[in-house]
Amino acid sequence: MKIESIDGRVETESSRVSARIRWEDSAREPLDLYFEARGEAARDVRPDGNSLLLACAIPAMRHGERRIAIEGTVCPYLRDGILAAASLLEAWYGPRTVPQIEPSAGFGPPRPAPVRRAAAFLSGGMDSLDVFVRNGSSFPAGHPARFAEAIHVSGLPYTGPPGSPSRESFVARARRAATALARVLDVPLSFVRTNLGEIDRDFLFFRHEYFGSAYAAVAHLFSRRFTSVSFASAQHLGVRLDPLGSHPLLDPLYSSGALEFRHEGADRGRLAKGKALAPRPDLVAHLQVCLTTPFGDARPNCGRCEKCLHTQIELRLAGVSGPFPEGALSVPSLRAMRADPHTAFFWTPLPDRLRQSGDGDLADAIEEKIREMDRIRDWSRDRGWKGLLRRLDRRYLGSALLDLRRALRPARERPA
Amino acid sequence: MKIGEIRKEVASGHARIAADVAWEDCARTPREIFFETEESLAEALVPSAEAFLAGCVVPAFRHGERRVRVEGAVCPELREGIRGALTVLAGWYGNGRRPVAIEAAAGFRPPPRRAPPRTAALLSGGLDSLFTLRMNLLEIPRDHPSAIRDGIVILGHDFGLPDSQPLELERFGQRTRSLSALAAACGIELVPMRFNLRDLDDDLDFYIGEQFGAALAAAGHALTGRISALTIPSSHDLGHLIPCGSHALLDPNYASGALAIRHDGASRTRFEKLAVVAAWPEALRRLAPCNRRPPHRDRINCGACEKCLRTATGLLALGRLAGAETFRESDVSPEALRTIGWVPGFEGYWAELVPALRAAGRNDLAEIIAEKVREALRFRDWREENDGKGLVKRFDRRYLGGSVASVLRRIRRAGSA
Repeated sequence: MKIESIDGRVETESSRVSARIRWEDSAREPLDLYFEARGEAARDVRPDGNSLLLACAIPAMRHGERRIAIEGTVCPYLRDGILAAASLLEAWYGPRTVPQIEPSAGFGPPRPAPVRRAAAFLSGGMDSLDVFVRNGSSFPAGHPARFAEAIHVSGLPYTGPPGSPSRESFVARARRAATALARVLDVPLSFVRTNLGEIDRDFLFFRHEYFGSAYAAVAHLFSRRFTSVSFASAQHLGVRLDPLGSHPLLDPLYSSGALEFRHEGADRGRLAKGKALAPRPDLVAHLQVCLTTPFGDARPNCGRCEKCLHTQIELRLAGVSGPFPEGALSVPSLRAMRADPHTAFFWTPLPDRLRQSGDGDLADAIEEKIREMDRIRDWSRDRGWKGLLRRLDRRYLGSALLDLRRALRPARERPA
Repeated sequence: MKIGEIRKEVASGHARIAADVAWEDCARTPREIFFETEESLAEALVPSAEAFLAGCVVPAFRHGERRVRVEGAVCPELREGIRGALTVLAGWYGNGRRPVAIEAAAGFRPPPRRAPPRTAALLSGGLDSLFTLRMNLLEIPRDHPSAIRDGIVILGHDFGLPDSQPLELERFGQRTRSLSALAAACGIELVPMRFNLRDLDDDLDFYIGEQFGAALAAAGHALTGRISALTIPSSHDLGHLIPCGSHALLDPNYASGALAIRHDGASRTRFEKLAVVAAWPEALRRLAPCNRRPPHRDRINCGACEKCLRTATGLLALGRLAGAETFRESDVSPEALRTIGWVPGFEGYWAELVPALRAAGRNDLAEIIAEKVREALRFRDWREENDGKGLVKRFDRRYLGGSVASVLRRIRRAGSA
């Protein structure tokens, strides 16, 4: 892979960084990558080799690139961090190509901004809002760890080409929410718009391997202004620490000599976050958690997707309601929800708490859904008695049982 | 737990900060906990509430203290970080541990960070710390804030007996002299320190498994008159992580407004680190990975423990064992490898030596290690019931109510009767 034609343009309230990404070992189309920043922090945005490297390194690994040649210098801490991230991803998902990192001007650490200054991403969702609220209550104004500013990113994950209804609906809703939340939090907000999501449009790849480094790439654009940028955790240390593209082990690896990329909020789960937000209905009123897109009207959340549903329950258990359509949370909605085993950990703490609060019907529906998630997971991991049989067959019978079953299956059931 | 009477004393060649630590919810002996350095470094030592909090909170958590109340003010960044660190430890070790409330008599506010910034690194003379120093010297410009300017060597952190044994003191003196010479050659300064944090709980497994990252961070907080950042060399690489008191998930949590903490070197495997250190003659002649306690009377590395043998075998594969003055043997015997006590979880460290040994023409050693690695993995599969027998056992338990196991037991009993 080559990262070349790196360019930057700075104006009073906006700036733009661009580069051309060319694949060398995989037959993928080149990408004219851009980041456009607006807002108070935009004037400090500069082209940054570390940022562009982070934008490309994990996709380059996925697609078997043997090297990443990049114009300029790269921080040796970041190079080592990317190597360590590769080790982790290999331990989680199996072997992959680890590209050589070849900066044209060698390795050298960037200098940090002279004054320690912290910022965080504000997506409009519950995790990032919780991080801001916790930060504000933990650190007095002037403390170097207090978030002085917020950053909102449009274009991650990939939700469609520019101008498409799916993209525009998603971007507009998230942006409205972040703007309103920043106003209430009284924190200056800068916006970054990027086409980075196009480097690999596969959402599962984004979720499982990539999104921490994608956001870190944006953070490093601001390394002249901030010494740390925090990213809200979707994990819960000690309860759920699954392989995921943003992880308390991965994200800090995306730091450099100038900027610390912090993974925050993993010490608490969603119920605790709901409870922490409950005293702030002025903030909760602007939450936007929904990933459904396109979405026909101006409401921030559909109320019926998996994320909307568990968030409504988390808030309800904390005694507060969010910006969700009236009646969206119901037993039929829960039954209609797609069961995704990767999100089971959001659901498992809920039934007991719902029963305690007298919502037994919802609890029953959720338990049914959790069983469905377990069945899917067991199937995908060869668990259960069928899984055991499949493994025994594979290991000791050379898949003879599977062959027999296929042979006995009626012709009409066989794939064409 | 209460931490009070935080004080600083300078006398008879030493500077020390100390505090009285009393347990509230468990019947353990109150202690005076101290951090000490040479009198010439007195300015470096700060009577920091953060030092005592970081040093004491993990034992407090282990022994069920409901709170740690510290005299003075505490940085909220450390309070928040401790919350995260204890969550990690609870996830690893569980056992119904309850959260510890952090209380600061004078409230929560950040201590001032030293300016200009100055970075220190732990420098024990072991492989990890020498690697961290070497890479920093090679890659970070000397005027960069992350450039290591101080190496901290600590008596009391050694994974063995508490520090009072005369042989330990003698060894520490030797090590300090040797590392002083290395520091001078590198243009950094050596900061010798001593602490007694292990007096709070002298269980070595606990110190290694839970506490030592916090203890090292505590030493850094004690030195915030001199440093603004502490680099802790990683003990394990990210591809072979195991729960450990110093860990990428733990160490950065012990930072404060006055002290940044970096867990360094986790991107490189042990053998990769060894290759870097082996190519640095100044370090190779001082390499001291041995943790055997009590230390060998007349050798820096005992040469016989698992860690010594692993390091010596790696050096042999790199063709550098003969040049390593701290190892007396110039070869590793097959017999020593065959009889070595295997440490569970370290298979990966041995496995990475196999191709290097083969490339060096030492198939005799490579075969022994490869077989031991296979044996260890077979044992792990058996223990975790991932092998064929395990599959049958799980099937039996889950679907046959354990009847196959029960029949087998009866047959065995009948056979032995």
